[in-house]
Amino acid sequence: MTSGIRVVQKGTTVDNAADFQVEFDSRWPLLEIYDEINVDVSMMPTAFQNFQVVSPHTLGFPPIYEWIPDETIPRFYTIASMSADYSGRILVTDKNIMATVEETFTATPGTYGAGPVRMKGVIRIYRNSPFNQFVSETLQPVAASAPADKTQGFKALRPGQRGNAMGDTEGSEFGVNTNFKSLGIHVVNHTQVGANIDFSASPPSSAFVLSIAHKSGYKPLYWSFELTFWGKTQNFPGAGSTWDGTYVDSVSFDPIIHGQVSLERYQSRAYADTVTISLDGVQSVLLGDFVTFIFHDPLQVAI
Amino acid sequence: MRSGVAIYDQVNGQQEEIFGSDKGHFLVDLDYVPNRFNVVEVTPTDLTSSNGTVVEEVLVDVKHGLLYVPRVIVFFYVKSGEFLVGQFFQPTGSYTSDTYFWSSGAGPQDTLYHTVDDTHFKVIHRYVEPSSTPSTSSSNLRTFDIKYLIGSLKGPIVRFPNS
Repeated sequence: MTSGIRVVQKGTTVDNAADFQVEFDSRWPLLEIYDEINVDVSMMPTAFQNFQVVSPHTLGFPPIYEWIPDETIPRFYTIASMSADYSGRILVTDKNIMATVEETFTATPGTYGAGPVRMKGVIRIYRNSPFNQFVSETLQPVAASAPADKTQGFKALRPGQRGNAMGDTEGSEFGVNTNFKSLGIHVVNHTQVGANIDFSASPPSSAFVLSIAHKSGYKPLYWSFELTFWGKTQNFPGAGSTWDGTYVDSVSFDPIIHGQVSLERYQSRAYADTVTISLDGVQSVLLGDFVTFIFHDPLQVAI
Repeated sequence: MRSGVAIYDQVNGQQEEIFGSDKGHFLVDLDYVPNRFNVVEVTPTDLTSSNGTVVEEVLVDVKHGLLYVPRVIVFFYVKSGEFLVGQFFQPTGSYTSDTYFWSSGAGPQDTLYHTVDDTHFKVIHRYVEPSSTPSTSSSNLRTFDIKYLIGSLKGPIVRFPNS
């Protein structure tokens, strides 16, 4: 290690510490929150579609995000319901983030429900690009673990937390706390699957879509997404829109493994061993752009 | 004005911030009791259902002790009991996150899923036979390792998918 910050357990040398002995290592990127945006978009079902530019950003790439629905409004009216007749969508470009609700193109406007259809919640935007391939430096996994020494390390509170005790164990107050563990990023993989792949074989043992190498030494944690691109030629967000006009292809992220939508849509799953993650599914055709984040397991538990 | 620790590095020829302690990160407290990080071995039982009756059993129940709904990550590992349901082959060693379906569609629906709210995190086994002929889950033939992380960030309330 030639630059950055590394914190290891007491009694361990910085250069030789195994993963589980490392409390913080700036060579391992984290999912870092860039912004959290409150969204409340609604439409009457008499309108074909509606959209709203939520926020500009200055990241220079379409960032990954999570959607956190507000449960205080009836569930049918949130994006979480994802009914067949209405859907909510979040689109990101290298400049903007947009949330929208719409009727499906096959629906007759005004047919379904009394409305309004409403999408309310928070978009959590991470300062991480899905397009930059990344593999962290060689790891040093070992078979056995040892208790951490909590008498050393460092902590930093997030803004607005002044006055809270540093010994607080809640966690949400800290931007960094080496007495806790965090999800360090080991691999960011972006792959375009350019050909139809037949998953109908049963069992589909030879039908892997992606085989992503890792050096965890154990079956790692991961997030995997399918990216859907929406370009100028797409009938979205629709003629006459005022979407900022830059129109670099916008991207939405459908969690294909991480979330129930994927399981219902693709019946996808992952196989893993100590060196690869393989994604596959049982739909007859599956192609597109896939992004996978592989994380360091906070406890490096091999199962 | 920012405060805390920021780390910069050369990325693609440009100086770029790679870490800021004033930003939120997913952190896990490993010492809290009951565990906010754990691996639990479970063997679901042979639930019986008919006529669309939802039958459930709670496999994991953790009072997380946070003052908000936490962001949770859950993985289901097939530890033993290879099985083939339709085209959905689940070999030992495979794993998936959030929700584990091993049958769906027109037949019985056998599912492991998780819920989280402002007090509890739970993993639940759910079995539904839509027809009038009773059937029994064969889940007792399988053993799962359930790995979960209850993180420091706020997250969504999670219930059964699409409920």
